[in-house]
Amino acid sequence: MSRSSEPLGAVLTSLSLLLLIIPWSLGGAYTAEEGAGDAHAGHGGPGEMSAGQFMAITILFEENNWDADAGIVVAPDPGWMVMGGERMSMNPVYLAAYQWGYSPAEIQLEAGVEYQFRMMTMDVYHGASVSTDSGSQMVRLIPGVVIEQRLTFDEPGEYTLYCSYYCGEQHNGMSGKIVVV
Amino acid sequence: MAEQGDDSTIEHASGRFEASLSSLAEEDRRLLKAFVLVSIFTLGLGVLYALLLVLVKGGFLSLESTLAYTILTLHGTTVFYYWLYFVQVAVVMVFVLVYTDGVDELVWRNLAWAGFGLMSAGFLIDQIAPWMGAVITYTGLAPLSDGMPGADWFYVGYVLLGLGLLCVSIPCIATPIKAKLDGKVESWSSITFAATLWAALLTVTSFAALNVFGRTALWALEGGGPMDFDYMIAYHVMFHNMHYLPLLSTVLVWYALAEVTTGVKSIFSDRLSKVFFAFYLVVLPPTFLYHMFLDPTISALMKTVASTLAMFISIPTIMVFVIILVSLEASARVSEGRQGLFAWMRDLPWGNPAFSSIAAACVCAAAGGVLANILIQVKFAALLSDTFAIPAYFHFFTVGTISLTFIGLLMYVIPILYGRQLWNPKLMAQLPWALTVGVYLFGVSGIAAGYLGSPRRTLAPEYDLHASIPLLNALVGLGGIIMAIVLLLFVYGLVRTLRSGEEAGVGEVTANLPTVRWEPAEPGAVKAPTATIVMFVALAALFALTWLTFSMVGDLPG
Repeated sequence: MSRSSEPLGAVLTSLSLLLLIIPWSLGGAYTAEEGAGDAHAGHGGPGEMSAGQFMAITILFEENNWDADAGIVVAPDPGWMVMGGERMSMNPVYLAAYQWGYSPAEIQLEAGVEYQFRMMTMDVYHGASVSTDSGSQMVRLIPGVVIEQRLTFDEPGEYTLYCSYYCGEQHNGMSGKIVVV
Repeated sequence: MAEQGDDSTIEHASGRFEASLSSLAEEDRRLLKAFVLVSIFTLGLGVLYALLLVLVKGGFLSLESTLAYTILTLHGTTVFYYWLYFVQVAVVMVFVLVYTDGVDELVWRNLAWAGFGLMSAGFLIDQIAPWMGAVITYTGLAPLSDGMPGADWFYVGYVLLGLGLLCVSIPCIATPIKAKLDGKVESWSSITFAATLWAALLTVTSFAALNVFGRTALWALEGGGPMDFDYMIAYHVMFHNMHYLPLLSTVLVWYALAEVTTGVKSIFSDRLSKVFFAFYLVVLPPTFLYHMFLDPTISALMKTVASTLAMFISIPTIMVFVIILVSLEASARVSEGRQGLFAWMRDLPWGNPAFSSIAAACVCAAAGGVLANILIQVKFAALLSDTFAIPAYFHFFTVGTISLTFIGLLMYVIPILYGRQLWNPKLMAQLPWALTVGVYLFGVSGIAAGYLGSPRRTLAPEYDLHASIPLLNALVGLGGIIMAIVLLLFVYGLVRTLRSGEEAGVGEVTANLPTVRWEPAEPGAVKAPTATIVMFVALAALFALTWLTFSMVGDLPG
């Protein structure tokens, strides 16, 4: 490139980078969805609730779904309703995160069934990520915010639920289990 | 890289740099020595912390959880906020003093000394606070820090750092402005312009640091409890600039060292370089939200805007790289008369440790740049945010690109300041390539582990994740060990130089660093096909890898 072609080269290079924006935008690369923290599987948005209120609902959820042999067993949703244009589960899965564990710590679900998770941290930032054979879904829980996410586990097995956001000295051990039958 | 029109081509640029730095006022040399010494100390200490961490990450060492996260906090704080900022202040002061015509001393030097004192005090406090109980990573996570012993001191340390940076930024701005006002310089060089720009951005960033850390320190000192502001947003407004300022100064060092080691001046116009340096100031501040793509409280519109704007950040870095590469190639072809696409590259001063540092830094920056382009796009947040892919990626920049570049400049600055030749330049010229091997092993393995779900800031998880992660972590550990050993060798070499390097007179100090003497290419005299091809290959890689990542998003589990 000679000096005489300098401005042209610079402009062309800059433009070629800028032109990336057009196809990527058309492909939706820059388009965030409401509640993007829900990962791709969920389309619900965050809501606000106090930690105490959420914990009370979670305890109720645990009592309603308690099985003496298998612990917390969540039956397939009896149906979904539409509220404000948003599909809402009639029987969502409640999950509370705290230093350093989850309540409930273990949940049994059925394979191939879509569940709506409602999650919230009781104290500091946490993660509620799920490990699968092909990678993980990363979810971040922020104080004061209910995160909603719809999940379908196609394969039976045990999935690790783990904290992916540093939450203090015992962060290493903060995990739970999702058993899919 | 000096500007076209500079007529001092008879003496080699290396000699001019040495003569200029050697002739600084003794008081300025003392100030520079202070910043350089502390920066080397912080680098060595931060790398020792890193060595422990990679041993744990790789599964080669077991540490009690609290101790491990204390060291993680110390590592990030020491290398990111203190090594990178002590050394950058030294670099920018050198540029302001050496590359601004008519400047014979630093304006308001006492203010710079006050800044040095404040930064040093902050460093000491932030070394102690984690041991007191502030195990909150270098991000200073709040409200996690609520009730932790030492958390208030941790933030006070950062406040002192912010005040110190504010104090040192002002003399760096005032010095070239005074030269201009006094009529001693008609037009700033590109390097002076960019160094002043860097200092101006640092001033703004210092206020952002005082805002977030001052408020958080008060909150912690008053006993914690509910916070009346969003710490993470305020933090990322500050952090975003803090982690791009080193990129601007790194590119600036490439620009200067290319000339010092080859004698080649930019064959482009002064204005073109200034435009691209100024571009940083325009594109950086509005894009901070891409750090928070997993935060559901940020609106979709804001994330979309941030994701789009972030695309622009790579432009100035790539363009300055192109300016340097084209200038080198055109001048090499004129001076050596080499034919063929790559033959001219054999004539580059590969035996010069500063040159090999910036060359290896470009190799690391290539990977870092491509990965950055992927990570700033909001669609990928669910795949990679909060995974180990993030630290694996940013070490391409923080270690392989930025730290290596600054070390390259120190291999000139330290010998000149102390009048001693660099220790073992042959070994020092090979180390950057060994570091690059370590960075790539650490980075590639870490990104693979992150893709499979390995969380970041999680040193030894007590649960099972994907079966491949332990092996990948071992490779991360191995890469990290290589990086740590090489960096410690750099520190050893620099300390050995300033303590017992061979004494030499002015004009002879850098004589043991091989350079080439190329004449700047005349406008239109020769073409630079290699640089053009490299540029288009890089762009093609950018397109292809981004496209590949799009397809990976479609395969996300769910």
